[in-house]
Amino acid sequence: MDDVASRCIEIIAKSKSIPPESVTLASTFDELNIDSLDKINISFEVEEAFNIEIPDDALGSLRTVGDVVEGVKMLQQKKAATATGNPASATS
Amino acid sequence: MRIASVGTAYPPHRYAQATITEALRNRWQDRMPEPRLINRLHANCGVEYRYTVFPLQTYADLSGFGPTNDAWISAALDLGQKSITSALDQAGLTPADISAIFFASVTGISSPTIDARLINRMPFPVNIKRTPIFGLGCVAGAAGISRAADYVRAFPKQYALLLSVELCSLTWQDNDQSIANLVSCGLFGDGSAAVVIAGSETPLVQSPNGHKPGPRILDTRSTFYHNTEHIMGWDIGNLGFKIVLSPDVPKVVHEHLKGNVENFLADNGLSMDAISSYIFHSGGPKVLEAMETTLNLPPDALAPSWKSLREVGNLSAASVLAVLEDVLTNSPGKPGSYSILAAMGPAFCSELVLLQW
Repeated sequence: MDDVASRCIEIIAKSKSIPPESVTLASTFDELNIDSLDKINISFEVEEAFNIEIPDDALGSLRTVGDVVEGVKMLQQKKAATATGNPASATS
Repeated sequence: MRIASVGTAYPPHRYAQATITEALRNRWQDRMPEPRLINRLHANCGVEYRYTVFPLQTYADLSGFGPTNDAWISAALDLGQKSITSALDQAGLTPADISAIFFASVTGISSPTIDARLINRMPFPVNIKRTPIFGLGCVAGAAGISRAADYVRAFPKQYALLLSVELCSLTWQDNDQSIANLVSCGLFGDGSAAVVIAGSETPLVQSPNGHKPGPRILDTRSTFYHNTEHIMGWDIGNLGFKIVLSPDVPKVVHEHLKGNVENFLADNGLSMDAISSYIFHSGGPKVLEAMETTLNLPPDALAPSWKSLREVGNLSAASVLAVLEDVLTNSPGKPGSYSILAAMGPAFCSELVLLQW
């Protein structure tokens, strides 16, 4: 498991006060009893941890922990591409 | 008895969701520990546009229950008259043809009630029977159809009218930055709907003369869920209506709706397979998802409800009626096919209406 995944799992586990070992990439928010408000609070933590900005309307499509990890990686790539002046590479 | 027509009316001010969010965030910036929360909550309500009865900048000047409720009375009369006129025109009827009026709202109160004040504006018969309904909230659109259907079942030669006016923007609370209020301010919109219900021996049903009446109302079912008062409602105080909205609403849907629907259909000799379309109250994304999951609905089964939520928000009692209007206009059922019209609301409770096209 890479660093992004580990950190996301750590944040999600902490938000629900559960052991990180009980959270996997395949865990769904329903399984973890994570509601809409939990998701928003997690999004703030994730933004701070990775220094990224999550679009406000992005949370509705997130169903699993893996979705969060993929989203973070995509936003990191987008940010890196913007910093190097090549936004197109973020979508390729 | 049949649904003869549905008319809706909306206030003149229409805003993108982000514009409303920004206005409320600016207004409450100093009261919220985490101002970004309102943006994120509102962006995930499934709402893209909403109508408001006043321009957004006017709301800051409205304070206190009295002035706000006075504004509700004035605006509810204008909007109610428009939706009634639309529904009656579509059915080829006039106010003089109506024998009973049911008025449902949960966003303001008055006595005499809005239906009475409209009788002074429109030429309804002096013997019209009035039933104002306050407090049923979101379920009142479906329950209003049921009660009007009860009426015309008893008086099959008569027409009944259901009116709902909900001005949810007049319940925004400056002193409440709870999650429930922030969600409520992102979800609920303003609007009105009127429905004409025609008894089975009325000319409109027996010899429609070119008018195409809507579906027959075959049966209705109210179900009360004990000890769920905390799920939804108002805390009513000096500043008006403060929202009670529990995150457990989807859970209640999961626990009850499937059994309610299956029992209701079984009592009518039907099963879920017989239902060709669903006319459901646009409660919000989590509620609609819970309905889809628990009833195992096919993809897009609730498309009209999602569309209504996107375009006008949750209109409380008027929402399911707005969805009904859309289905009547754009996707009426094939002759003989069945639909379920449904809503849930404070108590907590549900109302189901079985329709046949």
